Amino acid sequence: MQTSKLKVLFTKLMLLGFAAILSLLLAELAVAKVIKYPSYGMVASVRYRKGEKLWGNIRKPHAKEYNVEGKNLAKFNNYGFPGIDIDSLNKPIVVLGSSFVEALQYAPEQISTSVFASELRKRGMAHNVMNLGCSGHDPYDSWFRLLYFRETLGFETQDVILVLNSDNDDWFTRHPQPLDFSKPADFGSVNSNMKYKILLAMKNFSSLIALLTEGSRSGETAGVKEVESVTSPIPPNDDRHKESLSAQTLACLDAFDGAYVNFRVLTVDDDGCFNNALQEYCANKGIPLCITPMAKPEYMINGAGHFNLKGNEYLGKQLYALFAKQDIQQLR
Amino acid sequence: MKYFHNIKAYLDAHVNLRFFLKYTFLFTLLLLALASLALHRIIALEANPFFYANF
Repeated sequence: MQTSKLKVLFTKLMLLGFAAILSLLLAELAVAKVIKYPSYGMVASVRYRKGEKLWGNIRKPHAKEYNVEGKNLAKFNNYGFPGIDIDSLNKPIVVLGSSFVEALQYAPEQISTSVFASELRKRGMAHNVMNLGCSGHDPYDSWFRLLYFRETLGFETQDVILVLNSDNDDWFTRHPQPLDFSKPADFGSVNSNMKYKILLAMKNFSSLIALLTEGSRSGETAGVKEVESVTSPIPPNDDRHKESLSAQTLACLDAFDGAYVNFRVLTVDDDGCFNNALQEYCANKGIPLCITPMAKPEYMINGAGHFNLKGNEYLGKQLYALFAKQDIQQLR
Repeated sequence: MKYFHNIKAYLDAHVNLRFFLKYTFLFTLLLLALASLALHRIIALEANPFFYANF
């Protein structure tokens, strides 16, 4: 009698287990194929940024990301960067910046760096454009991001364009001061936390797990890759005007100018005082500069978000104009 | 209606299959509900116009 009861219980438990497995598969199928929510698509989280808890996520080639603002499925290129595929890594033009350059809101061929590449191709220039823009990155982060990919992908370049969308004063406070541009001892080290690695593997494997973990993130950071990327770094035209550039901005510009022969700067900030100070600095240093204030509703999604299609197209053309050293049209 | 009765009769005759299908359905429903909540949470948060703006 006892054995019979145990046998029934065992059968029920086995059936429950199988039911759980089948339901997981069905739910995964629904999320991945019907909702089309992508799996995580990250290779690893690495330490290339300086500052506490500042990890950089490295994406897999052709990874995808669900983007609410652009209502689309953002696709990455063959190197895991935003934009169209890159044919070769022979002296690419590198564009650095924040989420405004990353532009995950639109299809790869519609974003500013792809428009830039298309403008180059139209004029017979066989340069590849590498979009190293990343959400939450200030120029100091961008310095190390470029360094990291130069080392891991093994390419060299002298053509670097830094896109500034604010004075970055708030973001600079995340780093140890004064800014040190030498490589830290743990540069490029992979996050080896076992819990993180297991979760990463599960999120990469399953769209359902990726969706559940992203959605269950606490408070304001849910659905966002990094805490600092929550807000737009284009501040309103308020009373933050300063007559000179901050020491951190100067340090970053000096470092880039010293390391890359064809270093260029493009500012989309609408702060006239900041832009004037930048213009003075760049004129003294002989750095090509393009001032393109774009914090205007006509260039932004819903008038206040990241750049819309018009904004991306305009920025792409301005990048080309800066690269080709054509007359820079200012919007003002 | 005839199909429905046939299926019901079949499941009544196969108790384990009925048990398995019942819990497969319930677990799937639970997971899809959780996925919907997660998606809603992501969309509601990022769709807020102030999410990307620094007013």
